[in-house]
Amino acid sequence: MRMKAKKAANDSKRVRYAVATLVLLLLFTALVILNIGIGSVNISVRDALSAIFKGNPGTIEHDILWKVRLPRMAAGMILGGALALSGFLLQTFFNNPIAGPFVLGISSGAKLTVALVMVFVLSRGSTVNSATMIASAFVGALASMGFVLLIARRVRRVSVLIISGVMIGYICSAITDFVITFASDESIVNLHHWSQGSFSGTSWSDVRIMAAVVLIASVFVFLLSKPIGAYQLGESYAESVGVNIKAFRILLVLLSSILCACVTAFAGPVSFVGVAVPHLIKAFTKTAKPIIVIPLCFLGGAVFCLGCDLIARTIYAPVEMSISSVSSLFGAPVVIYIMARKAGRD
Amino acid sequence: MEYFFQTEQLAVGYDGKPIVKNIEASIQKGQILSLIGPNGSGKSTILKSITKQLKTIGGVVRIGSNSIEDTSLRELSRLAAVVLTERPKPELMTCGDVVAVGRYPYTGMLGILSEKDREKISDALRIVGALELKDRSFSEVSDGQLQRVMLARAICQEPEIIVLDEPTSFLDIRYAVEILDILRHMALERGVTVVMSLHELGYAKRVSDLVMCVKDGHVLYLDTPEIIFTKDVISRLYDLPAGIYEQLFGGL
Amino acid sequence: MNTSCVLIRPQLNNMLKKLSLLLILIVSLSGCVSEPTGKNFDDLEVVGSMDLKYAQQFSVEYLADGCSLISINESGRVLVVPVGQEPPLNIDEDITVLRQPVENIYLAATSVMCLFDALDALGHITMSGTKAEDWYIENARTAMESGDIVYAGKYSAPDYEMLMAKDCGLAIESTMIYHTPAVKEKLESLGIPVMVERSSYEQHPLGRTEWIKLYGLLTGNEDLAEGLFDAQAAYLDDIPADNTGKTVAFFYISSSGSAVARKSGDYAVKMIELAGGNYVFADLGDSGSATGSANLEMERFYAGAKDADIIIYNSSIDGEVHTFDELLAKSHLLADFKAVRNGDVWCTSKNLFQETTEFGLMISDMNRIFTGDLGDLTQLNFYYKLR
Repeated sequence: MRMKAKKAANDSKRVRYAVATLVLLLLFTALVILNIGIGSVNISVRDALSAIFKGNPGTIEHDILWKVRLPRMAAGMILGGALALSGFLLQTFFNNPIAGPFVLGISSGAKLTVALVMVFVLSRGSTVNSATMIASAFVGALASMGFVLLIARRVRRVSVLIISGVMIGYICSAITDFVITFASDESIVNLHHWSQGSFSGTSWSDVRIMAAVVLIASVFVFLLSKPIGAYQLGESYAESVGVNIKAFRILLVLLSSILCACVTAFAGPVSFVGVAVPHLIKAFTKTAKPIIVIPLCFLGGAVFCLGCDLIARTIYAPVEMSISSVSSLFGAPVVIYIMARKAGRD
Repeated sequence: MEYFFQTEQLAVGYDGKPIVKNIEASIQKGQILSLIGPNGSGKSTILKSITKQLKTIGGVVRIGSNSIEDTSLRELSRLAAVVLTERPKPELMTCGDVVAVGRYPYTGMLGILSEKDREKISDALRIVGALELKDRSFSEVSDGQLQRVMLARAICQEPEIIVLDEPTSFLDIRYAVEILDILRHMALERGVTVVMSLHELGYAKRVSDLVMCVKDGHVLYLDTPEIIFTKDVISRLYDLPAGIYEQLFGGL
Repeated sequence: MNTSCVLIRPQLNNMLKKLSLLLILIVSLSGCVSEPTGKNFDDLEVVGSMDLKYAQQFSVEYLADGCSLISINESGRVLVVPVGQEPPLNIDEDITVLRQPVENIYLAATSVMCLFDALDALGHITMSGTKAEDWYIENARTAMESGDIVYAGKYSAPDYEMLMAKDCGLAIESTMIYHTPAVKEKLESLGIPVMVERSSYEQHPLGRTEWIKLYGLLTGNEDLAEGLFDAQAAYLDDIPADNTGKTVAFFYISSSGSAVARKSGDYAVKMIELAGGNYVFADLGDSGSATGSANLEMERFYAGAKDADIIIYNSSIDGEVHTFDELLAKSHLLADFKAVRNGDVWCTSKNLFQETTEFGLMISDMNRIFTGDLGDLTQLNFYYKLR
């Protein structure tokens, strides 16, 4: 009798995971199809599919799909997944439900280096190519991550890390404001535009790089499932079962930052995906087990970003809304709702 | 006589400053050692140091025949398991999931539980009498149940020695006695060595093989309960005014 | 200026065109129709260059086969191939090749629209980086409202699909595009030629106007462009050369309360000087080539502008002022100013920045303000006096 009850409990858990995965995959497929089909130029789904699979290079449809829509979609998927994973890592690490990828000051660091490039290189009349812009954003992001890591090595308490991250964010913003005083109006406008985030204009070479970075980092995250699971009981217990806390902490910050830096470099800061998606996944699967949550978070992040990007580029076409506005619009209420429910239960 | 757990000239403290010095203890396998003493005397510090949660200031700690300095974190996790004072608040974990963390040193790279692991989890829960809590959410259990689950987690780790920091605090008598009985069972039937700190002298007397009294930066006494739980020793240890001992412990 | 030289230019150009057409005819008649008739690019001689009076940011060379090679300062080169002609072979990688007349232009540089309007060449533009309601040029707005020109996204986020679907022949961008290099690279990777125009970097106001010749070349309206430019140059020539001795302050008060004035190397300042005025902030900016505006701290502004004979208020950013009350509402400090007390305050009509083709007339207007050659007029073509 008891055996049956236990088995039923296990089964219902498995059913939940399966349903969650299925729902996400369905949403993913639907959004892929929508993203392929919808755009300024009308392409029927049939034409789109034939352009993809049979290829008809030279036709407008083929070019639009392959050169404009598909790379953009790929970016949305990859970077969305990266953000969700980054958020999951930080929420686990800080045991704080509103922790997100940008809490460690990473986007502020990237914005600073981009501002520096705009003000000191572009205003002088020289030009840079997009690879340089991307590289500078990446460097800025990793630099601020470096500072946080330095602190992480010396400090045991996690609350101090959050504070350092926030402080570094403030410092970078202050320096950016200072740099801006030397900026032309154009730089200010463009910097503002950059900080709104966008997937527009992604090229396949961009996609190749981000895919490599994100996929490698994500695999590492997945391989950390075991220590993350132990970490959920707290640092002391995790250490007692054999987790090397110092190394773990550094790895976690490193991976989370690389994922976030990648997004910031290629698309600018995209807020709330990293905060909201892990909550949604955990709420639906009712588990925090990393082996289940990590892949589903990646998928969920991809779905979320694909949806937001679709809305951002179609709702006021041809004007593009910034992706951050859309993701905040959907992400923030989710977080509020989940927090309220949790508070109600406690 | 072969000792399983030994400390030699052990000094413990924070930031290089010793709080307790010259700790010398030797216990055999399957024995229970309790630490008693006034608040702030350093009992927790000692416990944290012997499990390498805190760096020792001086001296040696041996578990088995090796010093813990020479033991890697991984090897130590197969030797020693802990039950701490902190009450973890993980989200969305069942009691079974919490106990499963104890299997960490034995599972593969992704931590997937084998059939054997699952059996051991159920075993551990059975020993502590909490099997029915396995699928219940960890955040919904009572204090007594929580403590038992944390103990099951430690048992599940298949340690040679369990270290507990005030395992009976916040527990009423019934649950406290239950915990102690489980520990005694583990020690006697399974040969698990137990080192713990206790506030309640009655419990310490009931269950210990050896008692260590910690006060003013050093070990006052290390002896059997019969010798420790006497008027002179206890009054001295806790600075009790005259007559209090008889009042409190007259009957015990 | 040697006006006869100006007249000969178009004739020579026409002759060259006729010659090359003849050449094509002969060669095609001899049976070589299927092969490109152009010569090797490197072998082409430069047979002349466009005569430019004031423009310094671009130059045009005429090649032996009738093509024109435009070089824009720091923006690369564009080869314009005449109608019906094949481009030469082995053209250098960095040269953008355009066929005359260029159609389906995506215009993301707002200051250029009026040049196209003056050339009556709006039909060549089908996509705009500015929305209909943001255009001051009547014809541009009408064209957008009727759908002849559609909004295709701003320069930093163009609608690539629309550009591709409409077979965009050229994207004319301002230097703002350099802040979003990814966009330029994307456009080029989609096969859409990009030309970064630099008319706003011309120090001489008529240098800006002279860019009409470049756009005339692209759209096949070279003669009209020449004529229009010459008319504006004539206005300038008619202005008496001597300085009027008047000091002029040209600025606006921003919404945050600070004074914004043009830097000393800016074209607006040059216009004042050409009109015979003396700009009060003559040393604003690091060097003589400083363009654009600068925020002035209040003390400096006060010291510099207080005794100016004439104030011209720049309404193009923050809005027009019509009365002295409105002016003083912007900043009470202005009440002390000499020009305010004497009533010599003028304001620009809002569309100043979009009327590049009438700079000559604008300077002429300003000269009349400075010399006082107005009679009772309180409203000129581009300026009106405050009441």
